[in-house]
Amino acid sequence: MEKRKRPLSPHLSVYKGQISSVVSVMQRVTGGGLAIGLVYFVYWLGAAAYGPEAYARAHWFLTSWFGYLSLFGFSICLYFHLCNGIRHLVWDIGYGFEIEQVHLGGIAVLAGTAILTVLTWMVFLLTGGGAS
Amino acid sequence: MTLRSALGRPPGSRRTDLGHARGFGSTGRGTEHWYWERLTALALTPLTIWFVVSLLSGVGASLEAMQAWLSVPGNMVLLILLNLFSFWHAQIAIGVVISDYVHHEAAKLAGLITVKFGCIVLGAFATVAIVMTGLQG
Repeated sequence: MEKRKRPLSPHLSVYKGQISSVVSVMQRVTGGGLAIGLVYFVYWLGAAAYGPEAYARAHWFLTSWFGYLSLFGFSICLYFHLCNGIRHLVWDIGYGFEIEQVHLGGIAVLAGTAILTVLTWMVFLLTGGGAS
Repeated sequence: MTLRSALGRPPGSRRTDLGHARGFGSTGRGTEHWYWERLTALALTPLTIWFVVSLLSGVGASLEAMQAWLSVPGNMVLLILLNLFSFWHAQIAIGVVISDYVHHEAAKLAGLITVKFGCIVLGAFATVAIVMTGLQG
């Protein structure tokens, strides 16, 4: 049977970005970022198991400018995904569906991400850096 | 994907269409993956906070520090759990994204299988690595 060509919806490109939709999309994007972070995580653990040479190599990579840039990115992804994940869990038990609450929650997630990320790297710098 | 969902309502079935469809979804797995995605998220919330705090306290500063950290049974167990719950969560979530955006059936199936096996392999490898590192501490 030939598939009839029906109009498709939604055409995402016709919508203006709103906090509700942008945060929702970001949940998937940051999840993707964290999946890459998991590969780093496994590499780091594997290096520790393989011994001093492998660990030194992993340590060199993770404390290179690219390593730190990645870790900084992962920290943003983690805090965003964590904060918005909690927001999702609150929805799942049936709260926060009013439009003001949805907008407020979205803003809280963005603020929480920024605060936690800055706080983490401030602690890192002030304590001399735990490395990796 | 279950065989039943692929075949549709069996001929001669006395169940209504709604009764047959209930519990299925775009993945054909009903609410099962949805439920486990939430359950793992719940476990990952405290585990990730513990992990970040541990990293900031310098557990990865040297191989010796890491071995000492993982030689404590509680730390080893928490890191293994973080690892397993992370891959469990990731495997479901990436599967959902693939189910949503990949419309070619064969590519969808190949993608889902690759992600599941990939997560199992990486999760198993990391678990062994954690245990080995801890035993050297």
